[in-house]
Amino acid sequence: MTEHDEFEDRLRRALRDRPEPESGINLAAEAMRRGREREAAALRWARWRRRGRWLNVAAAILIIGILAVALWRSPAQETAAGSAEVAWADETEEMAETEWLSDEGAMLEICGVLALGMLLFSAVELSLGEPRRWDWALAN
Amino acid sequence: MSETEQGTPDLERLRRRDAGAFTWLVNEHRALVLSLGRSLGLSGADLDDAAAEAFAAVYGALPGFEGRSQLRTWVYRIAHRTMVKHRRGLKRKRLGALPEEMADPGGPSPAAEAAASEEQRRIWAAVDRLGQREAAAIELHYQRGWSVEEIADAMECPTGTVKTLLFRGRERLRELLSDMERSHDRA
Repeated sequence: MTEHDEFEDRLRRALRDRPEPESGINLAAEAMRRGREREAAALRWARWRRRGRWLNVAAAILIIGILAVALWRSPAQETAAGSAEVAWADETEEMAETEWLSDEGAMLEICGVLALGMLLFSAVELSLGEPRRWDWALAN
Repeated sequence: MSETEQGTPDLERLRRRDAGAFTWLVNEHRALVLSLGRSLGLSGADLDDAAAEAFAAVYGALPGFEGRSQLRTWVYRIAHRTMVKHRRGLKRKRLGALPEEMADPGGPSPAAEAAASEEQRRIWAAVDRLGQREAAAIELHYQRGWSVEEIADAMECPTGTVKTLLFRGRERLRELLSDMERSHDRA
């Protein structure tokens, strides 16, 4: 027997007899409890995600609606309010330090892009079908 | 996976997470998972908690087990990932605030220490001082008799890496043991 084999044999004998650590709890029962708890939490999360998608669609439709009303009303208001409206606009423009905030068109564009983005996101999410159950085991 | 031994549940029962089959799985791999936790420096309630987390992860992943690798190497892989993550969380919470020497190395119990021979105690202490991956490879190979291929599958690395870990581990153990013997002789 070579020195290498002797050393390996020495290791094997010592480690084979090494006492295994003990656990003070019922591991199987505890693991099953935790596993089921997490799966229930994952299902709850999936339900919220599903609700969240429809909320997203509703919010986007609401924004588009507000935008449509704003666009429809603004030319009419301008005609009706006449010079008073123009004076008010001039005053606002003078007071506003940042020009873009007073620019209604830019604001409407930003809202439009936001609403379209939300709708697009919802459409993609909904086309993926039912949300997949959160696989926490894989994440581990 | 060969399921020929008596009392071993078939793959389908394991996948369905039948309570009996899962209890069998836990009993069969309890020592492996607890030893892994010990080699990661966990002990006492932390070890119990980490082992429960590891088996909970196995429970969650069982429906996806296809039997392409051996059950024990698959369980080891999941347990390793879970326990490393768990230990990181513990360190952040607690161990980080303690000096290194106060962290429990998770060695054998005093009763086991007393029953063991001087030679065994020295080897166990030396193994506990190895790096985590080297200690794991040494324990799986010499304590549990796993082949290099099985260890590579469990540790998710090439067989060459396992051979290197075993070689380095043996060399380091040789050094540690001779140091220990020298200091023992001097005393």
